[in-house]
Parts: sequence; structure tokens; C-alpha cells
Amino acid sequence: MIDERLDREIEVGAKARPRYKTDVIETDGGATVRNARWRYPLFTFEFNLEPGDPNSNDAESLHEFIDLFHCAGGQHETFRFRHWSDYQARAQPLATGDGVTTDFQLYRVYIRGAVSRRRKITRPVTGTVVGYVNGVESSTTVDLTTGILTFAPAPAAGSTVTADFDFDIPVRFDSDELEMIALSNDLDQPVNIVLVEERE
Amino acid sequence: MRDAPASIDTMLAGRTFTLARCVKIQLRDYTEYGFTDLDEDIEIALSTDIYTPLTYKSGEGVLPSDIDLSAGLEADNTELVIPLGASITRAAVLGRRFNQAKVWIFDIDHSQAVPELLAMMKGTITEARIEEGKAVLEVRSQADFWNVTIGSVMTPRCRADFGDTQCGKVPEIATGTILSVTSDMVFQTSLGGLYADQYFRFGEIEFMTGDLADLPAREVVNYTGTTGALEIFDPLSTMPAVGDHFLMSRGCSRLKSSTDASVPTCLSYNNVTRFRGFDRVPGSDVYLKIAAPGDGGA
Repeated sequence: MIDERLDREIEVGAKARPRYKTDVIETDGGATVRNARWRYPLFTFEFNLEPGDPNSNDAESLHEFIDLFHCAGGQHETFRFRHWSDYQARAQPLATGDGVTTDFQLYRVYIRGAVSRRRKITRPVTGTVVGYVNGVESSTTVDLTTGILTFAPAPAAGSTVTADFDFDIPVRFDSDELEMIALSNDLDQPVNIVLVEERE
Repeated sequence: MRDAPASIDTMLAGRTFTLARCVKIQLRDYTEYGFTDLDEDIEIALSTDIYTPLTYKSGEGVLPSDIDLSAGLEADNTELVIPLGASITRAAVLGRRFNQAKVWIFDIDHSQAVPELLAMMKGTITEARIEEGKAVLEVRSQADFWNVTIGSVMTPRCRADFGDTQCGKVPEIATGTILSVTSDMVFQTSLGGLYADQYFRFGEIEFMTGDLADLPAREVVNYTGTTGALEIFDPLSTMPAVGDHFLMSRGCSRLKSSTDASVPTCLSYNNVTRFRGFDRVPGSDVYLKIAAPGDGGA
């Protein structure tokens, strides 16, 4: 994991594609039986820094982007990516305390009606994580590489454990190749970039 | 009839499932491994666990083949294909550490915080091998225990195992240490100058300490009495280390007698009355015999 993010100018405007994995078996009658294989989604981010794109004007951020591609060694290493339309989670329900457990995994929770779906967060942003027990801010430490929030002391039995946090997504390049167009002296324009989320 | 917990029963009656497959492997030394095809590691407690709860690892890429299940006495079977990695190493598979390990295969409802189980199959690994960088573990269900030959076989060699009740002999056992290692089949032992040449031929060597401890015994092919040099029948999964302790037992060629004094036989063990071979019954060797000039076809 390279603990670096891309520039906001590059990240904004990326096309995000969350996906799940479902085995679908269709019967002769046209009905289907569906088995969900995953608990959590995986995101794909796609962007295209075309010449003339206002996002592409910043030479420094393009240099940084190309440096990151080389440091990552193509698909090999992961790095942080921020999905700017969904990176701040507030009052996310984590669990119900039992008086013993001190460690809680951070989750981004999506709720629609009576149904909820949790998304495991492993890369919270340093300095943004605050843990609450029954809505009262509590003393916590967070592991920034696993997203495990540790309360001291353990939240009391029956208490509601929630957290506020910002988070990044661990991603890697989807290709070992980077397509670049030479714009001018000492400036290349990367195009057709696809990043995929890695499970942690 | 297979019983499913009520919640899984209800799920199976509907159209949308949240099932993931789990595989638990328990070696003969009670080391346990858990694997799942779910997208995260998960802890599940089974009543057979030595360490509870066992963590079922998600990232190992374990692929059980389709499981053939049947209601009769036919043995159900499946193959587990596991990339070699931290849990399953080449040395462990080739060292037969996975042979005869117990395997439990079951499905879980992964939408639940504490998942309910749907048992699929319990069995034993009958064969472990390496194919293209992956470990292939063949699993056969408990019904395979019925799959045994009953009665006895007529063979020229003795059908009793050396040291069993039919044989009645007690194999002599020596303990020693490894002094130097030439290869994974040839090493020098501390048992030089103590026994005659080939004293341990057809015997077995079993390591007590080091990386090879607790692995199944290997057959001895050559033992040189003066130097203690030892050669075994098939290569060990890893090299033994200098100083490893081992047990070595004498063996038997299963022959009634031999003109070669270095071959241990029933006669050399003074046990011919218990010989269980049929060395006088003509076998395929009669048909394969080649006439030699002057021997009158004998």
C-alpha cells in the first residue's frame, strides 16, 4: 500500500461503478434463483484526462500521477483513492456494545427502508475518526490500515456504538499499461485510466 | 435426509440466497485450517473445533469442485484446489501432512451476524498432490470406509505386515541423529559401526524432531553398517537438519527366504511357521519366463 492519494482535480469527475457478485440461475419457466456471493461491494473508477479538460491543466498533479503509476508498478501496489461524492460518513452504526468487546470495525452503512447494507471501511483518514457510545464522544484509537476502532473502556452492554469518519478506498490500476499523450516539453497527458478497489 | 436450520430452510424455499461455502481441514496433528469463498474472513465455531472459533480465510482462493452427494453407500467425493501459500505449503503437501486429514464442507448464511450452517459433507483426504503450483486434495466421504477388500489375497510374498499380530515379531527399533545430509534421500546417521550392513533394509525411518517431525515414516533402501550412511526409498519433502532425532525400525522383505543374506526374510527372523505367502503357487512369472540354454525349461 502506497499511503498517498491522487490530486482532488484528478479524482473529481471519475465515473464510479460499485458492483456486487450474484450467481443467477434461470429456470425454464423464466424465474430465477439468485445467490449473493459477496457481503460488500467493490468499486471501479474510470476517468479520462483529455487534453483541454480543465482538470488536466495542472502540470504538477499530472507529474505526481505518473510518478504514482511507476511507484505502484502498474497493477502491483495499491494506493488511496477518494470518492468525492461519498467519503464522509457521519453517525454510522457499528454495533451494540456487550461490555467486553473493545474493537469495532468501521462500516459505511446504506439504509433504504427496513433494509441496510454495510460496506467495510479499512482506510479511514487520519484525524477524522470520532467514536460515540450512545451519542457521547468516547476515547478511542483507530488503526488506519484496518479501520478497527478501539474503545477504552469497552462500551457498556446494550449501548449503541457509532462513529464519524472520512474514508479513502484502497485501489490499484486495472492495467499494467498507462496510455499517455505528449502535450509539450516535459509533460505527458495520461488517458483512459481505470482504477479498481482491492479487498482488505 | 439432511437437516437444515429453520432459517436456511426458509431461504432455500425462496428465490434469493445468501450462501457461502466453507471448508475446514483438520490434520492428524490437530492443526486446523479454515477456508471460505465469501469476500471476508469469518469466524465460525464448530463442535469439532480444537481451537474455537476457527477463522475461515477468504483470500486463499480455495475452490472445491462440485460435490457428488448420494443417498446410498457410494462414497461421495470432491476435490479441493488450493493455491500454495502461507497455510498450505509445498513441503507440507509433499510431506504427506495432509493425507488422512479430516475435512468438513458446509454452507453458511452470510447475511447473519452469527451464521447458521448447512452441512454438506464430511470426509477424509485420500490423496494430496501438487499440480501447476496448486495443491489438489482429494476428499472422500465417510462412506469410503466401507470400501475395503474383505478376505485375503494369494500372493507369493507374505501378506502380513511386519510386526502385526499375524506376524508376531516385534520390530527392533534404534534411535539416532542425523550427522550430515547429502540429499533429501541420502544422509549420514549416528548409527555407524553398531549394526551389520543392510540391517535396516526394508525398515522405516521416522523423524522425531525438526521440520520432518510427525510425518509418516519412510522406507529404508540402503544402510551401510560401518559408516551409518542411509538411503531412503522416496525423497523427503524438505531436507533433514543436522542433529534431527529419528527412530528407525527393522523391516522385512516378505519373502520366505533369500539367497542374499542382506535381505531380511521370514527365515532370517526364524519365523517361517508364520509365513503367510504362497510362494509355490505358479503366478504370471511362469508365462513370462524366458528359456535359457541348458536349463531344461526349469
